[in-house]
Amino acid sequence: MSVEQRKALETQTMALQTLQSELAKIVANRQTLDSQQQENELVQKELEQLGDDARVFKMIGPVLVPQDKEEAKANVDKRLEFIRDEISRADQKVEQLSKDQEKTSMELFKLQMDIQGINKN
Amino acid sequence: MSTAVSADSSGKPQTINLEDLPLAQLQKIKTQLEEELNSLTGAFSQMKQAQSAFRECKNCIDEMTPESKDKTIMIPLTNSLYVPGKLSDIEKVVVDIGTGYYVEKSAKDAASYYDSKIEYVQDNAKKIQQTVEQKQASYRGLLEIMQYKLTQQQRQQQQAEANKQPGTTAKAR
Repeated sequence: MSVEQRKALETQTMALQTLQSELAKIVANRQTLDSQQQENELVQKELEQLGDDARVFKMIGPVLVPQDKEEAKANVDKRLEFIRDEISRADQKVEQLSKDQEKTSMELFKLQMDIQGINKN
Repeated sequence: MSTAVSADSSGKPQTINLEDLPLAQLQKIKTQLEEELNSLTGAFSQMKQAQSAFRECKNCIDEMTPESKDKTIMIPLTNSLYVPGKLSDIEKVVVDIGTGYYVEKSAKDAASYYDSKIEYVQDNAKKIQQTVEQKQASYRGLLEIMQYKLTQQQRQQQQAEANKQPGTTAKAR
């Protein structure tokens, strides 16, 4: 194994590792977003079902503050919109990273084949 | 979480006969399956916890009978600090509906709210359990194949050794 090959092997392995950890981070993030979306959807449904005279509160610190029902609804809708955006962004990133990862591991594989080929000769 | 068992360069997952894969790859799939099983069982116990939390809420509502009106109770200000208080209204409760929002409901509505929550969580728990069972089945299958491949490999090695040195019997390592 020549010096250049060793260097190339090292850089590629490092690149693959960074890609993998980044991907893991984003996937975890994506899961959090998913559960947030679910929770907000449940709240949305619940607010939807309320009668007109229902009293809605928002927990701010340790106190419950009365809130307008329509305002609460709008707030949850906005949050859901935001979460959906974030999810689609995360999905795009996951796709991109998976592609990069595949490419890097292919290159790494080729490099290993080259090195083994030279060793055999 | 989805598992593409294998994706070739064309990018689309293929069904591959597990027996055709080398042991190292099977090992990888095994770790992956183990991780999935772990997170699924974790999710399952979380569901159970959530369910018992909802049950407790429901029980508290059921405990508030008309007789409990005007009774003195201790109100927790913190986990360890209480002040005496009186139950002045047993008709209305405030329910946490998530993400920091609370809604005032009648005791009856609140009870049915918790009932539906319990059912919802129960459904989810059931789904998770089904997935866990499926994964466990494939995990057992995988272990069997690995075991099979391992013994086969050993047998081949022994045979190769025996062929190399026809005079000596296979040495115990």
